[in-house]
Amino acid sequence: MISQYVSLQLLTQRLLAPLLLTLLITACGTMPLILRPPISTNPAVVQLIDDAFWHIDHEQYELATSKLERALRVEPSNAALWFELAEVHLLQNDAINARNFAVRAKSLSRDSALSRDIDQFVLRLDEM
Amino acid sequence: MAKRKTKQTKKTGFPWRVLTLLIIGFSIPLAVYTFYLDRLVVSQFEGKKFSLPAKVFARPLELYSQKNITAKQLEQELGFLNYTRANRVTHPGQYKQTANAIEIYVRPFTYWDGAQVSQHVRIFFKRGIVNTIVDIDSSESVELLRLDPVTIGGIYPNQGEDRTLVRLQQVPKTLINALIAIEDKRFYHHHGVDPKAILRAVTTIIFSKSLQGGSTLTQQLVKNFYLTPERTIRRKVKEMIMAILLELHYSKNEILETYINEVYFAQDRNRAIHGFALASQFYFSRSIEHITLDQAALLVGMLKGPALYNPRKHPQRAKKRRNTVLMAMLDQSFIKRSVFDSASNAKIHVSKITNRGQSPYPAFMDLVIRQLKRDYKESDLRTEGLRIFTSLNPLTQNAAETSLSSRLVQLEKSRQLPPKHLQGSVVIVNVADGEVSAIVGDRNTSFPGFNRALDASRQIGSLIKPAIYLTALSQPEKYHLASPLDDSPFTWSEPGIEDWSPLNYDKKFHDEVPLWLALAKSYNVAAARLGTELGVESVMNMAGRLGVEKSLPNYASGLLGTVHLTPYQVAQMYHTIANGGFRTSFRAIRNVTTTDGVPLNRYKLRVAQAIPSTPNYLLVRGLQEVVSNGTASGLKRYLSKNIHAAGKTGTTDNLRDSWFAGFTGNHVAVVWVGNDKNESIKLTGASGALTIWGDIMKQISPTPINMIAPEGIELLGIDKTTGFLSSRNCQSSRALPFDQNSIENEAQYCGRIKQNKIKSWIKGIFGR
Repeated sequence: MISQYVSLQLLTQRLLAPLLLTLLITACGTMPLILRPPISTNPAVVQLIDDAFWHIDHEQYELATSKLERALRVEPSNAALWFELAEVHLLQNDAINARNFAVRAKSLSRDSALSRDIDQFVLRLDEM
Repeated sequence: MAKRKTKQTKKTGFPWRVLTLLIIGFSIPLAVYTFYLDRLVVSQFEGKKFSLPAKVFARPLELYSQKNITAKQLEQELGFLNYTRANRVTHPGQYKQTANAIEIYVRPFTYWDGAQVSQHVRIFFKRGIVNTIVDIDSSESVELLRLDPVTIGGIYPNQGEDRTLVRLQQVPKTLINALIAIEDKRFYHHHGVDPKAILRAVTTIIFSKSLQGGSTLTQQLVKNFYLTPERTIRRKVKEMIMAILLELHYSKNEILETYINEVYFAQDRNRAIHGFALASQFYFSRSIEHITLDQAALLVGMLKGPALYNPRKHPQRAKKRRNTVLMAMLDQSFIKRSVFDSASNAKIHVSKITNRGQSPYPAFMDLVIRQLKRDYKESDLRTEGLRIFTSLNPLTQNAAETSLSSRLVQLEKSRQLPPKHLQGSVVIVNVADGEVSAIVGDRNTSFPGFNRALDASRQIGSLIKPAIYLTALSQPEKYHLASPLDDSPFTWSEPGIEDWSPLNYDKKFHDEVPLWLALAKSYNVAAARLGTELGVESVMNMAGRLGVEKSLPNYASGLLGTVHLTPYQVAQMYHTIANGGFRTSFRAIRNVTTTDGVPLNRYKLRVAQAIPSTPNYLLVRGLQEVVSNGTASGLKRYLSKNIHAAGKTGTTDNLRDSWFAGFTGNHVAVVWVGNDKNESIKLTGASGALTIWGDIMKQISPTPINMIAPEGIELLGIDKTTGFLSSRNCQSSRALPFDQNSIENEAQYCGRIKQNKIKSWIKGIFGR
């Protein structure tokens, strides 16, 4: 799930090959994959998101959250960042706050693909 | 005869038995006493040697390309941080300003999320924002730079001791040499007590009748660490025994390190500066690793009499003493003649005192301590050396303090009020995450007294009205922004309570007015009638949903703000509105670490939807009308209309309280002005608090309110003259947003302006 929302920098630098492979596999499938735009194009935010993902990979969720909160101070209306916070909270089994952050993300979203993903996320949480 | 002789021998012989008894009688208590002292020495030295105060930090300033900060503001921040302006930037803590850039050598710092090394960078500005940041050493661009945070205070042990612990390896060799040269040249050779030094001291006292120390560094440490300052022979003997015991148990380096951290240097208001590391920061604004020989000698020289040789108060005397230390170093071959000449000619340079013992921001510190006490024992806060990272923005705080203090003086003059008649407070919070960035609790901003921002519960006047209008707008089938409200004379009768007949501020009635205009112009009668129609309880519940945790009475007069709230509580209420209807509990603390930087606690961002997006969006639009066309239109003097600020004025009976609560895209701020004895201040919300609010906001880089319209919002034209929905074929002056559900029955009106312009254009051709 997380890999869908990685920054452009991360995509180009680290995950290009796996991403192309994923795209290829997906293209062969029946459902078309609509990639959302990168979370941010601001290099400072991209750096913080990269750090946050690194912490997520190492299951350091508190540090990941703190990096995302720092990123939000740079781009407070960035819906995708709010959604990342929701996802990290879910990784910490905190469904209540995951849902709250997702709803906040939805209220700020101007991107239909992101809004759709948030809706699905909230739906899944409600079914849990 | 022989008998006699024997008797005589017995009489004159040495009394061995008595002596033995005496020795035993003396030795046993001495041994017991020595054993007691030994345990005392060991237990105190082994255990916690120092009580370390909690250190409280402001938010670290983060810099990146496009950051909205001017070079002037950055220089102000560097001033708070006590960075020194230099012609050549060679050390951490220095900076240099050029035409369009600032070169900074950023100090290293350990944050909650890890350590950051020092960085030598150049920050370029373009049109009032950061353009690029370049690392001078590598010439690479820096995406994100964090300046070390300003220390805003400490929570000190009861005796007020403050110190920064330092390891011996961090202390420059020159400082240790200076210390040994002047204080205890045989330090590495004696065993705690130096007989030669004692002899020298006794001789000096006898022959020249002047006092000479004779105490070794170990003895000085014992005296400072375990004993009282009384000067008696008994205490001196105790000191010597303990010094020998200390040396038996611990190495010279351990003793030296403890001495370096222990010694007293200065009194700074309510805190005592101890240890070379803090003294180095206090006098030179430099970490101990980076002090120069002349600075080290100056500090060492001060030990003889910290007040007497205070370089800020007595620079000449301090210089003379410093040169005595340097001379001792020269005599003992610690330095060469050329080094001595250079250091002894150096001028005395001391930094300005910025981080005073008593926090410069007492109102904010008060909030921090209240929040900390929920999670930590007070004793831990005072002794464990916790590092507390807060959300205070010194630039915002400074703007709030300056504006409040200066505007209150101006207002007193303009209203012919006696000096000091007015009091005031300010609360400023970030919209996105509810972090408190500034708090002022008194016009004398550094006075740590009554904190009006947190504790002054005052009538809030019209600041309650958004709760009324939000309750109405939450019923789209009944109300929208252009709903007609009745502003004709109104009396509310309730059993057991005197009839209530509210009046408008202008003492006039305005018959039928659109809802948005009633809010913008703060019409009391229309609001009171609407509030009673909706139900006082519903309105007060709405205030609760917005974040007012205090239970509000269900009296009708409460609809016009006879309820009492503190500025901080008002800020919480308006924050939820500014934050799109999402409630976030305010935070003043981000995280806490141990003294070594190990993370302890993080105060997380929390958010929960309290109000549905649509009515909240409509209310924000109404509050923007307050600023653009209503009682707060005076804000135009301070803010560009492109900011689309929103807010509400508040005035209480007999002009006792002047309030303004409002927000931009990034800040919520509440300003209260009043009098502590609740006397009239001859100011309305618009003529008093609003002017301070505007003055602050223009200095803190406000961003525009840019809320996304929720689904189902339509823009409709408003009649220029009446303010109601435009009638068919009329000329609409502008548009207001409406919930689609609330306009289904408004078919007689025309001029619907769809957000989708093409759709609107097609409709324009074919009609509805």
